[in-house]
Amino acid sequence: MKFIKVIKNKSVLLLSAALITSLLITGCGNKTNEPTSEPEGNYPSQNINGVVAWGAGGTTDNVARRLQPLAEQVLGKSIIMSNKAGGAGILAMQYVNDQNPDGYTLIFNAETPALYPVLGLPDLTYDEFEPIVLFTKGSSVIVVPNNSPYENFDDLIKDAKENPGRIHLGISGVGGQPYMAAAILKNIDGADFNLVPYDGDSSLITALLGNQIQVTALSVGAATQFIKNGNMKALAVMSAERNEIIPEVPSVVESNPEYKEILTASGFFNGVFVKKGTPETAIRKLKEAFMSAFNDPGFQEYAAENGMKPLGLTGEEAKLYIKKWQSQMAWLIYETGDSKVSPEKFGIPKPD
Amino acid sequence: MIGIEGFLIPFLNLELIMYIAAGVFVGIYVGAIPGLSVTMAVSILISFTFSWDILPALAVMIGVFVGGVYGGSRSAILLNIPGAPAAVATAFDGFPLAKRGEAGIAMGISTTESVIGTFFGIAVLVVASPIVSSLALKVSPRDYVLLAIMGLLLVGSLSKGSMLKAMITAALGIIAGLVGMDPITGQPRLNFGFDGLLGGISFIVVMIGIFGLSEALMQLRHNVQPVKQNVDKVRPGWDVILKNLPLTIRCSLIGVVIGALPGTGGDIAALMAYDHAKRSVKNPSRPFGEGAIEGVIAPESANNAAIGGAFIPMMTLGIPGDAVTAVLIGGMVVHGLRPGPMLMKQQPEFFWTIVACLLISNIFLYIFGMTGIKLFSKIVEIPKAIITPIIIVLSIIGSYSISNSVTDIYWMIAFGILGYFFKTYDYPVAPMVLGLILSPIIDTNYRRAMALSHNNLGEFITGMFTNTISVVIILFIVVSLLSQSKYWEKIRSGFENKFK
Repeated sequence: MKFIKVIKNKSVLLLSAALITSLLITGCGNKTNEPTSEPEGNYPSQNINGVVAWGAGGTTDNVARRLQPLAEQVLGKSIIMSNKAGGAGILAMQYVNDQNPDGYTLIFNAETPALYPVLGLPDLTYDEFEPIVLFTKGSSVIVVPNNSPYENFDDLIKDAKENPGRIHLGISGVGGQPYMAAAILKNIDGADFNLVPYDGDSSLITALLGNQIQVTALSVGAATQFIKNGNMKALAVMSAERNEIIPEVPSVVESNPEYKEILTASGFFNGVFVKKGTPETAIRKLKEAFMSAFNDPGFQEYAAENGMKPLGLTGEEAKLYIKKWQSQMAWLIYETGDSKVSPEKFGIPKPD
Repeated sequence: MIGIEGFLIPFLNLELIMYIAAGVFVGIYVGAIPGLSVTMAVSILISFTFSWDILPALAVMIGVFVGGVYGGSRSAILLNIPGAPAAVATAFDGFPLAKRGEAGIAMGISTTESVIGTFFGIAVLVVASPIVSSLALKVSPRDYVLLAIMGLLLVGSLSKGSMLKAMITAALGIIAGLVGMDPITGQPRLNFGFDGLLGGISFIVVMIGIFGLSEALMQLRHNVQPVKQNVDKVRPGWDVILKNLPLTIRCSLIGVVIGALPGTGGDIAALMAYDHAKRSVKNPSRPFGEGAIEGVIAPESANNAAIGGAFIPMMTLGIPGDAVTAVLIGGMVVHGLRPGPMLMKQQPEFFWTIVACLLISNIFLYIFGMTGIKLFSKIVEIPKAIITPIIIVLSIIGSYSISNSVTDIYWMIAFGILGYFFKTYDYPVAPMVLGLILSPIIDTNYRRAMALSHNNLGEFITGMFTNTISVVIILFIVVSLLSQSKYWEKIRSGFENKFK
């Protein structure tokens, strides 16, 4: 009887309420992990889990959360989003790979998994996954502080060749975009920089504005406002053509046409994937939903404003795109000497 | 004061005020539940408010931010489980207060001081944004290494009794912080070939285990009767507030500056403020660690002042000051607005709207923080048979929810059992969390600083003495080391005799 009396205590109720709320928020009690045997064409009969492989607030996360509500309208069910960041996306890849391939667990990820083998990371690449839609392609722009002596791309390359390994170039870790940009400059122009590791775009911006580093490559979307405001000087964009939101900045190809070949596939992309073995009906429905979300004018406008190129690739086209990207970038890393093992060993063919 | 008209927008819009109020209310509870973080709540809100206009969406998120930073102290005081890393220091004196039957007073103080701290942060954001942000830019990786070394000196403050034991737990924390992928080369480190460890051990998981689960286990061991709580007077008197105002302001200043640095946040600010209080307050109301209200005032004013601090680089430079502002920037970008120098130039009224939202949040923080204290105090009176299972279940859900991972639950349990033995044998647990927080800061910044010195140790060391900020931090370290030695007293008394 004493127990009953305690239960009436309001503060116990309060704590129980807190418990239930946290259970609801974490989505325990969501039955999506159970094997389903639903009749064909019934997909989706329950809510879907969407796993973002990167931290909240990053490009992949922003794109995913921008598209999720639009895709829900077509699916008629909710997509419950969660971030599973860490290990360059490996943790999320592993998690999704451990789930049933029933179409109820999606993964939103960027280009990195294609490079896991050459970077010496666990061998769980996009070969085990089925692309639903590849959303956008971004490119980076080479920037220097506004008080930098470099006025253009050629100045930078000239100085880097005269002082190999002395100029600080900020990167976001091995395999990240600034790293790839540095690898391309080394490969084509023979310019050798001192690579200084930072966490990502915003920590690179801090380092550049604080004059800790002399040069870096930022995603166009992140760099634009600093270029327009005069805090940074943009030397060149790392893509075959100029970018529409910063049309005054030349492409590296304009300085040296040799860049053209390697830059057709470079840049970073993101997309939504499911595990291989997911039923065809589910894949078809997801494709329909995410393509409609992708084609939404609001999303297209968002991509344009942030300097991203819409891709909208699905099925075989998407797979081909990833394969081509992987082959070019993996061989680039190998040729600059940062990977000891030839990509051929992982079945990555040499780009032709 | 261009764009000051933006300041009035939220005040004249009842709907916005309601959104802010709802945000603060939800934030307090999200913050109070260990494992549910403000970062998580704000990122859920981005999806949730996707189709809304930007202002209501931002109003809710700012409300959740302000409420959430405060909410962590609730569980720290009542259950000795910090709801968030920024509330770790609050538990040191908050929980002893609850054990004395003064949980109501502790919560009253934490509310008042959080409100003052938030207000101080907002004031600095308005008055000194350009100065603080240019200072933040000048702090180089080398200075972060020095700051983290200064942080390691806190081990002494966070422990009672054996210094050796405190250093052992701190070292364990630092080692646990190294597990996972190398942040620079991406190679697996200390994972013993186990892929599940590639993401490292989240320090929130460790915090929940070592504070929460171990507390539940300790309660099973000791037969402590719940303490009757005195809730007659929970609102701290003006005399208490005024008497401690100098301390509050000093700690708020620590909070703003540490919060404004892009590499550090409210958690470190609160610990540094606690350390500062312990060093500077000569006659606390009770000895520190046994329920000194100064020990609640310091971290609570600092961690809330860090909110305004975190907004400074976000608004002026477009760089997040902490994890929550990183998500907030993402949320604004989704709505087509990118904070930074361009926004300040093109839509300066937006800055003022955010300031007004923060201010309104602060008002609601006081209202919601002060109501319900009596009800909350009763949590301490719940019999063990009921509270212990609830703590255990909360710890499990909390650790799972960080990244929806079952592995994290196992880690939480492992650290909970470790914490139980630590507590049984008088090893302080707080230094372990400190070690975990500082470990990645030292790791990445040291290597960054070395890369910037062309991997030349000589260049790295000489660089320390040619940079004003580095020299100032070194002086701080030297003084705080010296002040612990016996020579210090000699020098001081020598000086005093000379000038007598």
